[in-house]
Amino acid sequence: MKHALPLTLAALACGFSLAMTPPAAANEACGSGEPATGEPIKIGAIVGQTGPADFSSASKSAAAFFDCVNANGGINGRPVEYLVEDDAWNPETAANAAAKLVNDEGVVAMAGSTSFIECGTNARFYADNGIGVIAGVGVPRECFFSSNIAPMNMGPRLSTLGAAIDAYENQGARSFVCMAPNIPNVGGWFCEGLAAWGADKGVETHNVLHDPATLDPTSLVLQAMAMGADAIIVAEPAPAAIPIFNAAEDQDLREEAIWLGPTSIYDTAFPAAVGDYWAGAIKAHIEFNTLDSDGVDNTAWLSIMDEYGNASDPRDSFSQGGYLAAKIITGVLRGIDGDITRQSVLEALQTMEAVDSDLLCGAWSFGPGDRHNANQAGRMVTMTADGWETSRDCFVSDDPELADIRS
Amino acid sequence: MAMSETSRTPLPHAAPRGFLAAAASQHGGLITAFFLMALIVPFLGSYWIKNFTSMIAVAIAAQGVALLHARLGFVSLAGIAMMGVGGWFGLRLAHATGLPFEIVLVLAALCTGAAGVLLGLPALKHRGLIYALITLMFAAGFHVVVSSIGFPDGGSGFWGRIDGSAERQLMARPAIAASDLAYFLYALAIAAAAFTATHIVTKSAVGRAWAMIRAGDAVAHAAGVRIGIARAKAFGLAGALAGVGGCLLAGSIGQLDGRSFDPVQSLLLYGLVIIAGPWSLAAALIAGFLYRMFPAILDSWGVDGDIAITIFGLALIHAIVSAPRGIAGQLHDLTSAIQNRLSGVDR
Repeated sequence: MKHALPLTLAALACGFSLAMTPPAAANEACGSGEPATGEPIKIGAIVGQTGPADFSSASKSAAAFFDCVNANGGINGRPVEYLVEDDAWNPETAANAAAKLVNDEGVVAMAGSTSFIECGTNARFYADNGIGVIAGVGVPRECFFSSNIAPMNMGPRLSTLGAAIDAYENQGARSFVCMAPNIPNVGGWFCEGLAAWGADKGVETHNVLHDPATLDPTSLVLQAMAMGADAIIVAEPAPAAIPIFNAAEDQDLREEAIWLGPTSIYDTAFPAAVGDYWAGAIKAHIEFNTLDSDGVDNTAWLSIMDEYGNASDPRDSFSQGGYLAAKIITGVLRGIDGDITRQSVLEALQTMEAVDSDLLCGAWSFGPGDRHNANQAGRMVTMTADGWETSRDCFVSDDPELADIRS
Repeated sequence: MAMSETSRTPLPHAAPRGFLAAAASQHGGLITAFFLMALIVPFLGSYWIKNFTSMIAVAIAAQGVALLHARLGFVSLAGIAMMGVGGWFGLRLAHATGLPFEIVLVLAALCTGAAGVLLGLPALKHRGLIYALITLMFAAGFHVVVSSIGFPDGGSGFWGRIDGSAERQLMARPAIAASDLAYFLYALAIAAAAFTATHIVTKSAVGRAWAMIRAGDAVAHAAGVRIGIARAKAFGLAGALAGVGGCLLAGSIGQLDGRSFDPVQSLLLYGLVIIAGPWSLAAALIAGFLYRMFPAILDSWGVDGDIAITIFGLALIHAIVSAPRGIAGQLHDLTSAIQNRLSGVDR
């Protein structure tokens, strides 16, 4: 016990010296000022952490961002209390989690949620309760077709389509296989986007939908190959995509088709996981800027993750989405005059000015409408032996379903 | 294992007194539990209200599993899967017909009861381990099928699935129970009705026929019981209970997902029914509590809810080795001991 005081002092001194010299970029992105005190402002998120794949990185970067905000002035002096619940990829758990956050905890908004099922379960609940949601990563259709949910990302439908558009324009692909999980309004919805876009171009599309819990990669690959398409789009989360590419390698199918994927496979660990065999042969469409880009937001995101996140938190596209969701809700909260309530936050979101970021191709705003899909353009990257390189800069995924938003 | 034990375990105390008095004394704890839930749960907040609603739904299905085990000596490893069947019928009927919730509930119970009778057909020839395996296969098969076809969500066609770009529909709740709290009380009332119905049936001529069958087919034959029909009634009732549970669960969330109905869940429910002590009507409630609330409570303490499975495994060993009448039996012994002590003091 007698060593406790010097130790505490040393720890404090160490903490102070660290706190005094944060990277400049981190500070600028999350504000300036004294560490926040006072009554916390509660913000929630629901993520699919346990289950078929860990899909929680957006909430981790959002948590790091809010920690940074709290250390640098908070929301006009008040700290953010960020409450993250796991939905275990189960609608029942997701509904319980939303009830807990909204009814019991009294969150004023949600930011940084990422889930394959949560929007479908809770979209109506959020609308009924007047909760505004900036999803870090929206996956199912309901994330993009709800009055109260606006995802940061383009969505897997537009990302899958983006990959197809690039292969159509640059590699001459005229027929596609779309491989995706058959979760309601997930896989079928992505793949339908291809068909809708390709209908007047003479493009042929086939779907291979499967249960995510019982993945049999070899049979999926063989099923896809049997359709004889020019290109195969593996629209799966990375943990599911890796065994599919491994199974295709076992059959030596690299040259038999053009292999594509949406943002979900754009992960720094992916090239090593699928191996050198695939170097140069896999192209991915990405919904945010490249992970090593040198814009202001990407630099700030990485430095905030280093300073406030855990070393084990993923630095992937979804983490970028969580960072942006947290940054935008922070800006909106700081701009509210008067009480911060569900209602004032939702109003402020709906009337916010569009925000530019180097992570996005165009400006992003929540918007007032019945549905939201502000992010519509992305980039293409090609996998190399040890990473990814950009092969095409910003282009729009021209989905006929977006006609109402564009007009 | 437990299955071979079941046929030898003696029937616990038959009700010696008048029907109502017997019911009240036998199920006093259960009745108290229902009242306590109705009084306390409304103050626990939205999260716990929703969890308790799920628990009630599971408890109704568990009543069917306990019934088959305790009354007929059949091991059903498809309890949660049958709930899924009930949920499927409930969602399909609600989206297809738009009928009031109560009617959908009854129809779903009837359809699931019929499915229960079908699942009981192999029991005409097989008992014990073989029949248990058949039900487990059914549970696994149901999971594969429902994961592939999905639960109805307002689409057209036989399977009722939305494909691609359309709004998914949620199952409408009863008009009188739209809020989470009202729906919980509604589910509690349905559970009370289902438990009462089960109690009445087991005390009726049908229940006596089951007791004969449990003692042995030869005994039942000798007593003039038509074994096939008596068994079919038990499987039908168990199915109908699962149907009510599944339909209530679907109404609570508005939709269902195959993930909730994997065969391990059915196995778990059977294990919990054994731990709870299937000879008591209260066992189903205890099993539902362990199944749904125990992991949630651990989660709320920051302990991984999955650790519950480990604890359940130890509890099952304890139940088989040293407490064959389960938690319900131990609680009953405890209350009897207290009553005896109290009456002793009075004297």
